[in-house]
Amino acid sequence: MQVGTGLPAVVAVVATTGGPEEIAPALEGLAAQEYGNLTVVVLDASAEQATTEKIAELLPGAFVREVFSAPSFGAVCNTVLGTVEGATFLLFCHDDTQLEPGAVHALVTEAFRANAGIVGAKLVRAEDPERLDEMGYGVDAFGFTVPLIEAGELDQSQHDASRDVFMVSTAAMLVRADLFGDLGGFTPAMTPAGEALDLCWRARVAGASVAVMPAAVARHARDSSLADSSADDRRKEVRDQARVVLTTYGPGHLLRVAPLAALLSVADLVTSTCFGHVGRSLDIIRAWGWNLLHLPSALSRRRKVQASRRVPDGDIRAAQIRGSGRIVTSYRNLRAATSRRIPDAIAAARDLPSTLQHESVLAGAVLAVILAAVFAIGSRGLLTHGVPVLRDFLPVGPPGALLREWWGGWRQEGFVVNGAAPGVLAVLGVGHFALLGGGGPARTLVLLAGLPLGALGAWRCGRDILSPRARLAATMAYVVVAVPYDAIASGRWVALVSYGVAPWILAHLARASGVAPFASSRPFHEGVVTGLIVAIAATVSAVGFVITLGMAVLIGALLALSGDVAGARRVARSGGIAIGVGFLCSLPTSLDLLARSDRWSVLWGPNDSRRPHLDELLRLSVGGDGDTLLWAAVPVVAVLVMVVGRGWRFRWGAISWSVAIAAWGAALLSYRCWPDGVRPGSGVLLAPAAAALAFAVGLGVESFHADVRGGAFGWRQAAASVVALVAAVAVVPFLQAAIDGRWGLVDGDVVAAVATLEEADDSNYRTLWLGDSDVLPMRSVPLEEGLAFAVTRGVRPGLGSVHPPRRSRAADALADTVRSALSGGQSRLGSQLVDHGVRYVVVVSSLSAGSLSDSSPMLDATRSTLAQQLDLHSLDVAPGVDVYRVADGRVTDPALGRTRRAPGSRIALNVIQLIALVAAIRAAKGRAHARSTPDAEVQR
Amino acid sequence: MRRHLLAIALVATALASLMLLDHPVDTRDAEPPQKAPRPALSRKGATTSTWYCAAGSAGTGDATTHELVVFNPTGADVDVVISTFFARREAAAPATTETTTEPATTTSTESPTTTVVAGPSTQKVAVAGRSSLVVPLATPGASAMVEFAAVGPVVTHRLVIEGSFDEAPCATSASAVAYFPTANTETAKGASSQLWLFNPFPADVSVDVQVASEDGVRTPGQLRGLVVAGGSSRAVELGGIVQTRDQFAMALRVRGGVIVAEQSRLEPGGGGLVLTPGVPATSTRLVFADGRSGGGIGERFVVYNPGDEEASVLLQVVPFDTDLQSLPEKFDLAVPPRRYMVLDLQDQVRVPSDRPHWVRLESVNGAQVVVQRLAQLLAEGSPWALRSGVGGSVGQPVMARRWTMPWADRSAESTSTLVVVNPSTDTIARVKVSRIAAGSRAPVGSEIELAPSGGVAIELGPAGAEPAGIEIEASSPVVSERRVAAASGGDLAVIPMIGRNGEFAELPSMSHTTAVELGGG
Repeated sequence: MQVGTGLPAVVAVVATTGGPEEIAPALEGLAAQEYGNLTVVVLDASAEQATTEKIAELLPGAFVREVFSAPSFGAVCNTVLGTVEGATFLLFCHDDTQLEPGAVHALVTEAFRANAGIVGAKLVRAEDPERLDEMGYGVDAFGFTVPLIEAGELDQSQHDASRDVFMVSTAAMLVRADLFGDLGGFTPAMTPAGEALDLCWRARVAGASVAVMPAAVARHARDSSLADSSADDRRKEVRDQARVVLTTYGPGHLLRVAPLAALLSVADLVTSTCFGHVGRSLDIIRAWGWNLLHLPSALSRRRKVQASRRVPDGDIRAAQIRGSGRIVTSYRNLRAATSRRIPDAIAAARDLPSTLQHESVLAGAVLAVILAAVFAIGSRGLLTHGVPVLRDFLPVGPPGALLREWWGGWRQEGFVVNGAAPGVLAVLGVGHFALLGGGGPARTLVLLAGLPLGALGAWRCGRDILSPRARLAATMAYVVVAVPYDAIASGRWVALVSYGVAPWILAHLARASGVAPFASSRPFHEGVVTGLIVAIAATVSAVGFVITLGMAVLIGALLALSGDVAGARRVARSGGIAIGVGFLCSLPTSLDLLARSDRWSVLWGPNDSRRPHLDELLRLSVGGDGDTLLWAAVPVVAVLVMVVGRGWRFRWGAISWSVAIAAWGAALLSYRCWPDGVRPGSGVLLAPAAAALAFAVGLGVESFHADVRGGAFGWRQAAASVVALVAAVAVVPFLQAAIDGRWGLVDGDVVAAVATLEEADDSNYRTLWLGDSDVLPMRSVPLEEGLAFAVTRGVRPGLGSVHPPRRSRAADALADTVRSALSGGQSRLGSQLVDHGVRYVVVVSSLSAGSLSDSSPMLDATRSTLAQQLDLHSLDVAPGVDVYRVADGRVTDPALGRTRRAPGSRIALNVIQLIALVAAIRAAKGRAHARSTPDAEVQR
Repeated sequence: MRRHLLAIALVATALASLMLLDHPVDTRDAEPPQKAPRPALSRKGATTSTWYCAAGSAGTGDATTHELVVFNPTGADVDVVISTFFARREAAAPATTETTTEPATTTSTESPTTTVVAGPSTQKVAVAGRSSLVVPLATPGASAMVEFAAVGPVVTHRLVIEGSFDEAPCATSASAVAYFPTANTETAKGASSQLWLFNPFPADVSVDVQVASEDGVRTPGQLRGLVVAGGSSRAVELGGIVQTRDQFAMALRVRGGVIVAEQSRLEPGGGGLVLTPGVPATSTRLVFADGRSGGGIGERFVVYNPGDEEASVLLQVVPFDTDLQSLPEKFDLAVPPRRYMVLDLQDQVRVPSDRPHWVRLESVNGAQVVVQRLAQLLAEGSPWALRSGVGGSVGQPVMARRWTMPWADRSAESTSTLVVVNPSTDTIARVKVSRIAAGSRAPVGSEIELAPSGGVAIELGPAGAEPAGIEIEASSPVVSERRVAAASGGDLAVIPMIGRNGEFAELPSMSHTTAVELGGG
C-alpha cells in the first residue's frame, strides 16, 4: 500500500469489530478532514459485509483490511507494520471516535512544532461535546495513570494549551510512523489503557516526547467494543501497570521503585480489603501473581526495551507525577463521591442535617489518616524490626511450605500427621509472594491487622444511624481501650482477633434485628456478612463463632424481654446463619475443631493463669505493666447514654451495657469455674465488652446532640460536661502505650535465641520444648501440672501451631518417655529421645530470652532432671532458655523431609470451602446492592 | 421514664452483682514436687534408676576399701551396670595435672593447668531377685555410678579404713546445692576431712563452697570456682584450705549444672569415720529416729541455717518410754542467718540420760534449716559395747509406710539395731520388719505396735554371712534408721532407711509446749 506525497503523509488507522452503525461516526469524522495527504485504513474484524459497504459509502478511498483475529486493539493495529509504507504519521482511531474538522491538521502541526513522537487529541464526550472526556494522563513512578482533567469537566477552554503529557489515549493518537516501527508497535495481550501506557513510556525511553493538542478535538463515545476498557479490562490494568514498570525502568531505578511498588500494593490490598473492596484486593493479588508467572516473557521484553533506550530514567522520572497516583486519585474520588452523595443523602434521610453524609466521609478520612499515623508510630519498632516470637505470635516458614501445608494438610509441627491447617497459612503464603518474598512484613501486617480492623469495625458500627461526631467518638473510644495493646504486649493473638471482629459482629447483629433505628432488616444477608467476618477471623482463631453466638443469644434475649420478639427472632436467625456460613467458609479447620477433644484449648489459645480482677475488667484491661486508672475513661464516658439518652439511643445503650456486663461476668465466671483449666483469656472476653461500650459512647454523643443540646442548663448538661472532661483524658494511656513503638511487647525472642542452633539445609529433626504452657512460644500439650510440652520440626515453631495438629501416637509415646524421665532415676534420656528424632531439648522459663523470671518448682525439677542425663549436653544459649543437645548430635528423621500428596478428603473439604466462600461473597454483594435500593432506607 | 429507671436499675444491679463473682477461688496451686529425702526410690512411672556414690576414700585413700552394697527387693533378677569414675585429689594446691589410663581419656581445659579426665570404666553384674550383693571396687578412691534397668533396687556404699567404717545410701539424684552442717579440720595425725564432688554428667561445672564457722562466713579462694570436669570426680582435702576448726558448716553451690557431693571425715586416733551425703534441700521439720545421750555416749545436734533470715527452731527429745504428757521441755534455738548452732544433749539435764529417745525439730518461723546429729562414744562401757566410734545422720524430713535398705555388715562381729519411731501424735502404727535374702522373705520378730510418738529399737544382731536386705511395712507412716556397731571396737554407723517418692507423708507439726530459751549464737 503506497500513500501520497507532498504534505506529510498521514495514515489513519481505524480498528473495529463493530457493525456499520458503530463505525459510521469515525468514518464521518475522517471524511470531514481537509488534510491533503490523509489515507484511511480500516482494519475490520467484524467480518460483516455491511460494514465494508458502509465504508465504501462514506469513504470511498479508504482501504479495508479484514482481520480475522482481534485479541486487542493494539494487536489489530500492529498489522499495519510492514503493510503501510511511506507514511510519516500513523493516526490510530477508535471506531467510536469522531474527529472534528481540522483535527488531523492540528495534530500534525503540533507534532512538528513540539517535535513530539506521539500527539493526542482533546477528547470530548460524544453525547455532550461541551464536557471534556480526556486530555492526556500523568503517570506516577509505579505506572499508575492519573487523568490530567476531571472526567465530565465543562469545556470552557480552560485546558486549551498544548502541553507535554506522559500518556495519551489511543482513541485519537498520532504516532510518528518510524517511531512506531522502531518500537515494534503496541505490546499485544494488554488492556487498552495498558497498551497506551506501554507505548508512550517506551516512546519516552526511545527519546520521543508525548503531547496533547487541544486544537485537535475528537468526540469519544467510549463504547468501542475493541478499544475501550471493559470492566474486565479495568481489573487487569493493575497487572499491566506492574508489567510496564518491570519492563521499562533501568536496573537502578527498578531496584528503587519495585520495593516501594510492592509496599504500596500491600497497603492498597489492606485498605481495599478493609473498605470491603474485595474485587480490588483480588485484582492486586492477581496482578502480582500474573507478573510472577510471566516473569520470563517480561524479562525478554525488558531486554528489547532497554536496547532502545536513549533517555536515562532520571529524565523520565522528571516527567512523571510525584508521589503515588493511586493515593491522589483515591482522594479525588473521595471528594467526588462526597459531592455526589450530598443529594443522595438528602433524599435518603430528609430529616438529617444536610451535611451529615458529607461530614461523615471527610471525618472518616481524617480519622483514618490520624489513626494510621498513630498506629504506624506506635508499631514502628515492630514494623522495622519485626514482631518477636511470643505465645501465639509465631514465626512463618517459606511461602511454598505454608501453601503446601494449608492445601495438603500435612502438618509440619512436630510429628507428621494429616489434619486441618489454619487458613492463615494460605494468607501468609500469598502475602509472602505479594511482597516479593517479604515474609516478615507480611507476618507483621497479619499479626497487627486486628488493630485497624477493629477501628474500622467501630467506625462502621455506627454507619447510617450515628452522626459523624458520634461515629468519631465511638471509633476513638474503641481505639483507646487497653484491650488490643495488652494483647500485643502479651502475644495473645486470639485476643487481638477478638478485638478485630467484635465491633463488626455487634454491628451486623444489631442491624439484623430490624429494631429502630435499623429499619430494613435483612437477617439473611447480615448473617452471611457476619459469617464471612467470622470465617476471616477463623483463619487464625474460631473465637468469632463464640462471640457471634454469645452476642446473638444476649441481644436476642434482651430484645425478647423488652417485648420485641420479632427482632429477637431476626437476631437469632442472623446469628445462626453467620455461624453456619462461617463454619462452611472455614472448613476444614472448623470441622476439625468441632471433632477434636482439646477443642477448647485450641480455641482459647495459651492459657492465661492470671486471675481476672473486677477493677481491671472494668477498665477493660488485663492488668500488667501498662495498667493505669486512666483506662477506665471509656467505660465512664459510656455511662452518658444511660444518663441522657432517650428513645432508641437509650435502648441500644442499655443493650450495649448489657453486652459489656455479660462479657465481664463471663470473664469472672470462667475463672471461678475453671481456675486451673482451659478457659478464655480475659482479653478475648474484654473485646466484645469494649466494642459494646464504644458503641455506647457513640450513642451517648448522639444523645447529647439530639436530646440535651439546646435545652436549658440542667443536670444533663452538667453530666455531659463531666463526661467530656473524662473523655479528654482517655487518650492519654493510649498515647503512652504508643511511645515505645512496640505497644509494650517484650524484646528478646526465645526462638531467635534458639535459632542460632539451626544448620543450613538440615531441618529433618525435632526439638522438644518444655515449659509452662503460658510461656512456651507455641501451642503446647500438658505433660505434668505446671509443665507442658511441644515438638517442632527443626528448632523453629511454625505459624500453623495456632491450630495445632491432633496428638499422634508418636507424640504420646514421646510424652510418656519424658514423663518417665521426670519420675526420676533416668540418666540416659537422650538415647530414648533419639528414637523420636529429637535432637534438642529446650526448657523455657521466661517469656523472653535474656530475662530471668521466678521459676516454678516443676520447672526446677525438670531442669534438674535434664541436667542429670549422661547423654544430654547442655548448651549456653541465653538466660531464661536452657538447651540440651542429645549426645548423638546428628539425629534425623527422614520421614520429616518426605513429600506427601494431599489426601482426597482434604482436597474435597478445601473445594467445599472455596465454593462456600464464593457463594457467601456473592450473597454479600447482593446485600450491598439491596442496601443501595430505596426500600433499604434507614429509619431515622 | 419509669421504663428508663427500671432499665438503669437493672444494669446497675447486674454491674453490682459482678462484685459477688470477684473473689479469689481456692485454687489448687501447682503442687510442688512432694518433699522427699535424698536418696529415694523413683516415683511410679519410672522405668530405670541410677545411684551415685561420691566418696571413694577417706584419709590417704589407698588404704580405704570402698564397697557397694546392692539390695534387690523385687522378685526379678536385675542387671546392674557399675561405672567407676576416677577421682582427682585436691589439697591446698591449685589445680594439678593428673593422667589416668584406662579406658579412654577425654581432655578438658582448665585454667591455668590442664586436667586430663578419665572416662569411666564399667562392669556389669546381675543381682538376683530378693537378694543382695556386695561389690568391692577394685580402684581405691573412685566414685561410682550404679544403673539399673528397673526401679526397686537400692544401693549403699561403705568405706572402711583401719578399723573405722561408715555406710551411707548412695544418692539417687544430683543437685545444684548441697549443705554440710558439720565438718572439721583437725591437725592430729590421721585426721582427714574430704569433700567429694562427683560429676558423672557431660558438662563441666563450677562449684563455690561457703564456709560458716564461729568466726564468720566466707568462701575461701581455693573453694571458689572449683571446676569439676564432666565425667569425673574430685576430692578436696579441707584440712589444707580451711583453718583448723573442730566445727564448721558448708554450703556448696554449683554454677551451671548439678553435682553429687559427699563428705568423708576420719576422726583422729581411730575415733571413727563419718560419711555424710550433701543435703540437697533444706527443711522445716526433721525427725531423727535413733538417739541416746549420756552413759558414755555423746549426742550433738548441729542446726545450720543457710538462709537469709534467722531460724527459730524447736527441738523436742522424745524418750521411748515416756508418755506424751511428761516429755522434756523443748529446746528453742535461734539460729542466725548463714550460721549454725550446736546443742550437746549429754550436757542437758532435762534430757533423760542413757535412755533411748528420738528427736524432732521444727522451724517455727518457716526458715529452712539443715541439721546433723553426731553420736560419739565418749567413754568405754557404753550400752553399745563400743570403745570408740562416731556416727552421723542428717535426719528424715518425711515419714512413710514402707522403708527398705541393704543389710550386709562387713564383719561378723558387727551388730545392727533397727530403730523405728512413730512421729504421729494421734495414730498407732503397726510395724512389720522383714529380712529378705536368697530369694526369700522372713519376718524379723513379730508385729510391733507403736503408740503415737512412740519408738522402738529392734536388735537385729549380726547380718550373717549372706548379704540381705531389710524391709519395713507399717500401718501408718513411720521413720526408721539402722545403727551398726562394729563389736571389734571399731566404729559406729547410723544409716537412714530408703523410701519411695510419691509414698512419703509430711511430718506432723510439733505441738506447742513450753520451751526453754537457749539464745542465739
